[in-house]
Amino acid sequence: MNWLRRRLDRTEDECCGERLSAYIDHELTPEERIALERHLAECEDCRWNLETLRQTIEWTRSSAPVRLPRVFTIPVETGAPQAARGRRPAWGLPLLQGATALVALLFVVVVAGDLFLGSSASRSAPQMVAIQPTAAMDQAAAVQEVEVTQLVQIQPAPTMAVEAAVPEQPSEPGAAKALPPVATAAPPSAPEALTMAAPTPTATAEAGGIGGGEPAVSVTMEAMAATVEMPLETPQGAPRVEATSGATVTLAFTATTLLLTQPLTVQVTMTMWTTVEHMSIRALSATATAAAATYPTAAAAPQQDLLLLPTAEPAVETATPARAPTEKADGGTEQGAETMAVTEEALNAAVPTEAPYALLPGPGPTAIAAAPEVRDVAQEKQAAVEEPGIVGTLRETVAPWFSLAEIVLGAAFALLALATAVVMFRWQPR
Amino acid sequence: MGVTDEGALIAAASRGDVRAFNQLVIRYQSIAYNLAYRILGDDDAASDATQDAFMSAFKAMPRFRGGSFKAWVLRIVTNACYDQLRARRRRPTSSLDDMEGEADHSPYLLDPAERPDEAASRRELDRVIQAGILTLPADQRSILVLSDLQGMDYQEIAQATGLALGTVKSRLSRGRAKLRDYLLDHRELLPAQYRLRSDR
Repeated sequence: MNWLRRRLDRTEDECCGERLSAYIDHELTPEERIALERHLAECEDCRWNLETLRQTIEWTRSSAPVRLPRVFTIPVETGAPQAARGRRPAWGLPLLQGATALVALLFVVVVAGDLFLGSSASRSAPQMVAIQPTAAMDQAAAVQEVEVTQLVQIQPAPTMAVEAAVPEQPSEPGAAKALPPVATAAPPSAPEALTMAAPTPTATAEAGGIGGGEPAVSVTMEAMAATVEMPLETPQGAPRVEATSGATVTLAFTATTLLLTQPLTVQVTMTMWTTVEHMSIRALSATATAAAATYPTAAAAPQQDLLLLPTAEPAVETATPARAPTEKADGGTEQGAETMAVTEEALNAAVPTEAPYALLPGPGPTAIAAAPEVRDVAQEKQAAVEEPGIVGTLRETVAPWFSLAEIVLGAAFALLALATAVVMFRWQPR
Repeated sequence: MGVTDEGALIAAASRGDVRAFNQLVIRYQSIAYNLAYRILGDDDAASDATQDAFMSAFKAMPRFRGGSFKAWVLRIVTNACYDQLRARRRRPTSSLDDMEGEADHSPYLLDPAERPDEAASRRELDRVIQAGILTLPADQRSILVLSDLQGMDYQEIAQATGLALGTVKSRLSRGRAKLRDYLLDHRELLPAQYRLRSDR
């Protein structure tokens, strides 16, 4: 086995080594090639080595290629996702995720705001319920007429009597009922010297003697009008007050000449147009400022303020006032001690409360004024809620949009979240 | 699309054009499969490795930075073959006995010009050569296949394997010597005309 021995030898005299392989491949530099060829001329082992190697390489190179068992093209659909992935902008998914998060945040904020304002609204739920018809109903239909008739007894005060021309008996101030008629009073049923300022009466005042019962004077007074807090309009003669809840309405009745012989009971009929169903007239504390009361015998009556004070709190709660026609409640049926009445037709289920008023002298300018204090409980409460400012204002202005915003944001969030999920799972890079 | 410029095909394939990439597959699948078959010695494994290599190549197309596309693809094929060898933990068929069964249905293409007896002799030589290649260490095997079966020069082989030129040269030299020794060791199995001269 010579070749075997040579193989063993070759491990020692691997003089040419990889140079033979490179020589076959023409990968030697000219210098290396010349040196190798010079060596090959002398070294038979290396010649054999070269020859067998060359033969091996030649046979290997001429080795037949293997048959392809199949084609190795890749399925077209394999590339589709990748193609889509390539076209899809890189910022698509982050943008979608950011938008989803933003909408979710907005949604939470709106829901939280709704809950916050909703809770503040629920705190005033009864008031909301009370005023609900106002907001819901047509404005024209919501307006209801409430007619309140109240009798206010005006008696000549002692000072008046004193300062009047012929005061007969000075009486105790504040004594409402036991006052004797003024000495110089005109005889009953003599409505003399009463001048009306304007022909449009809205309140009827009737005076009746305590004992006699016959009306001493029937006077129709005109509302001149002033309010405490808001302007008073008199569009068609009737004093119209645009009053909010809790407002104190002062109506000034002016009679240029008033013959006051006996205690005077003034029946004040007020027709109120209200948009509030539940209304209460807390107090009709009329402050009647009588001035220029001209006594027949007195040339110049002193200007005197008369205070009409209720002897009892005439709190009248009116529940769902009927839409009563504005009939003029004329002819105060009540007389004498009966000082206040609320017409039943006007105030449905209203309970008239006796509230005698005492005519008291008070400070003030020259005017006969009846200042019924009309207050509305529901509106009062509502005002109490509304007044506090920011939250109330915010709720009024923003709250109606909350439901819409919640629906829109909720839908947007659902869509965005779905899109994000689809994008993430569908086009997730593998 | 037809036969177009390889650069255009590569560019289209880089953008995810599967049809363009398949043009390249058709162009190089024979070389790729032959390399895989020579390295693995098994047609099923070679098929798997080749298919895996082309799938990997398509996904890696956007990262192709130019140069020889053939070398780039063959490097992927080589790596896929190494993966096959590692995954299967199986020594490739290395003995002629193991290859006896394949003698009946040779995987090699027949040269119609050859006479039948010549073809049979030649087939016998190819079988021994393949068996000899499979005895080589994997690193020498792939380089010898790339050089002597695929006809690539040293530069291309260095590119395809990521090895230094000197490493390619020495590994090729050692692989050739070992294959030559294998043929000498099995010269009795070969037809007379394919026996290496064992004496001087």
